[in-house]
Amino acid sequence: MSQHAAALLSPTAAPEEQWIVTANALADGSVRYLTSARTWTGDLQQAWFGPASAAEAMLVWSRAQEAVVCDPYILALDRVEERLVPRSQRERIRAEGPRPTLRRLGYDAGRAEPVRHAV
Amino acid sequence: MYTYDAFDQRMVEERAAQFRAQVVRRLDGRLTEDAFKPLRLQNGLYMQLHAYMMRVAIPYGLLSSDQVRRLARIARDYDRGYVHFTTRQNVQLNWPRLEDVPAILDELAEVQMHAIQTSGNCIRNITSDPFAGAAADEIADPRPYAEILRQWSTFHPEFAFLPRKFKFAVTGAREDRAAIAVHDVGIRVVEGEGGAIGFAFYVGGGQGRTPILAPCIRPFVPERDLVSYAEAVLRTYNRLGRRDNKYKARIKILVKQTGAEAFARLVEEEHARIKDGPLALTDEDLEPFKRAFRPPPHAVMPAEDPPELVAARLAKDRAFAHWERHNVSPHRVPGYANVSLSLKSRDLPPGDVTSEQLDAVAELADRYAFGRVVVTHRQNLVLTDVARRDLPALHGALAKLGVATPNVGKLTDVVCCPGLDYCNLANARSINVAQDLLARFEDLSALHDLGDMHLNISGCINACGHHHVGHVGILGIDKQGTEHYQLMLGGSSGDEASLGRILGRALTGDEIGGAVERVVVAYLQLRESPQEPFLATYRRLGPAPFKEAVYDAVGA
Repeated sequence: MSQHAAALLSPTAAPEEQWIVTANALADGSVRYLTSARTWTGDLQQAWFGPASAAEAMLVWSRAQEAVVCDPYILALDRVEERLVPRSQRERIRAEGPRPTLRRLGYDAGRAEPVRHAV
Repeated sequence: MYTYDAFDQRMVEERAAQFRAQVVRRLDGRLTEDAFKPLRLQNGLYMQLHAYMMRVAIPYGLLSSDQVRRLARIARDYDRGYVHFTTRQNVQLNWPRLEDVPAILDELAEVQMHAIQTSGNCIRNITSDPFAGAAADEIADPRPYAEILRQWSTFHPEFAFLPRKFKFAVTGAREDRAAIAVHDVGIRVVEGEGGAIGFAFYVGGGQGRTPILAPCIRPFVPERDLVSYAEAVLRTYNRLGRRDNKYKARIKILVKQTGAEAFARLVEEEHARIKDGPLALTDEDLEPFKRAFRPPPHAVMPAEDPPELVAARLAKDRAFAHWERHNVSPHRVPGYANVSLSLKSRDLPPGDVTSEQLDAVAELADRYAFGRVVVTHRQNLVLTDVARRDLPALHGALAKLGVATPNVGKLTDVVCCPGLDYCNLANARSINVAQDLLARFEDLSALHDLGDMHLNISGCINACGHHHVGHVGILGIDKQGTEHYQLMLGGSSGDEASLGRILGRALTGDEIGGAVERVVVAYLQLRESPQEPFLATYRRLGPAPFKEAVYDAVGA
């Protein structure tokens, strides 16, 4: 069961709509989320969140960050028990990476970085 | 195989240098993303869900062993140690960093490869029969013609901004293994009077959201008119194709709305104006292309099976027997065979190959196949020109590599796009469905009993997994935020091509694997004999019994 489904089925869950800003990094295309410190993180749980109107303002700022990210956009998601939970499968996969079985096949383990960039 | 001349080499090197400067300007802020995006796309560089994706062209799917080794090295040094072969005989890197792309283009240029026209509204990589030049049923080798068209279409100034992307496929065999009916232009080599070589032009086919089988608009175009007729088709499309709506911009819409006969007349009018100009091919024009693809130096082999093969059969090695039956195809030269390497196993997503596997395949190609490897549109590899006496040794080596699964053309030879695990356009995952089905049908004895059964999966309506022409097709859709899958039956990309029909309501991810199983069980019960393939049973009976088998179990 997905994290999202598990959270929503929890009896104490009370989904609360929040908005975030996300983009892809210019350098490598990795998924980025805007933080409250106006930096970018790959961890969804570190993302800034707020109402749609505030997200729109953050998006305007983000669009000026072309040296760091590409094509930022705002996104509605659920906040459930302190966790930000994407609503769509697309955004869940963006947040989590290709599905876990691929990692089990050795695609990511020990090869998180291309050889050229591994230190 | 065609070897670049100085002009070709300079062109790809300059292109790499040009893109290097563009990347520098993007990274230092002199180019905006809006300005840079069309430049990177013209070099095959897309932004996907988690990373950039770089698509590299493999003209008509043909690679030298040196090119295979270079792909292995690029994947190892600049990516995550694997590449993905696509249904258009291209190769994709899933994790390149922007700063590395110019170096990757340099590496490719060194082995006469590039990423030009692998994106955008231009003429894309030209695909062909994976057994081209080696097929037993071949009228003429299609690769010289595909290479002529490649050179004609590369950087053609008139066709750099077509209404929409444009895809050619060329086959020279009697059996269509190049899916010509579902291409913008499918070209089939035919014999005219006195054995003269010509081409049947099928125009206006395609998949995507409006699947259409291409009608033949001219059954015989003389060899000399190959390029001029292609130019006339493109000019007609470029002039009349819609540019106001991208969903109606492909040539298939124009041909359908104009009518095939009327469209053919427009092409003939244009062709009459240009056919005697500089595009007319002379024997001198054709000769170097035909020479580039002359057959390798085959040995003269005895007509009977070699002792190595007889010994392997006598040993009753079932794995070898299954592999020889399903993965080895006839060759035009006695004593030789074409060998398919299955890239469909539970270990990797369909079409994925690791750097280590690529290096090993290159070695085997050098040892057994004159240093040539072909990528197929069913996302497998082929070694053509293998001496039949070498089959047992080759099988052993391929089995160690994990690419000898005897399932080519079978249900587990799943064709599958990257889907929502990687693709920015996808609505649903496809790799997980493929791997679920591979697990369900890994009992090979039952699989062999099924005969040919093609399964194609696409993660969205763009149909990169060619689901419309799978005997069993699966289309991923997004239904109120959750992945669902439409099951369709009866498609085929071969001779007597057909488009699959949706069987019923979309199924959930939990339902789709079982639904395919029930289709298979129904087929086994319904077929007239073990010799009747699935497609024949479906065409004889229609969808009703299969629909009943699937939806009685899960609800309509």
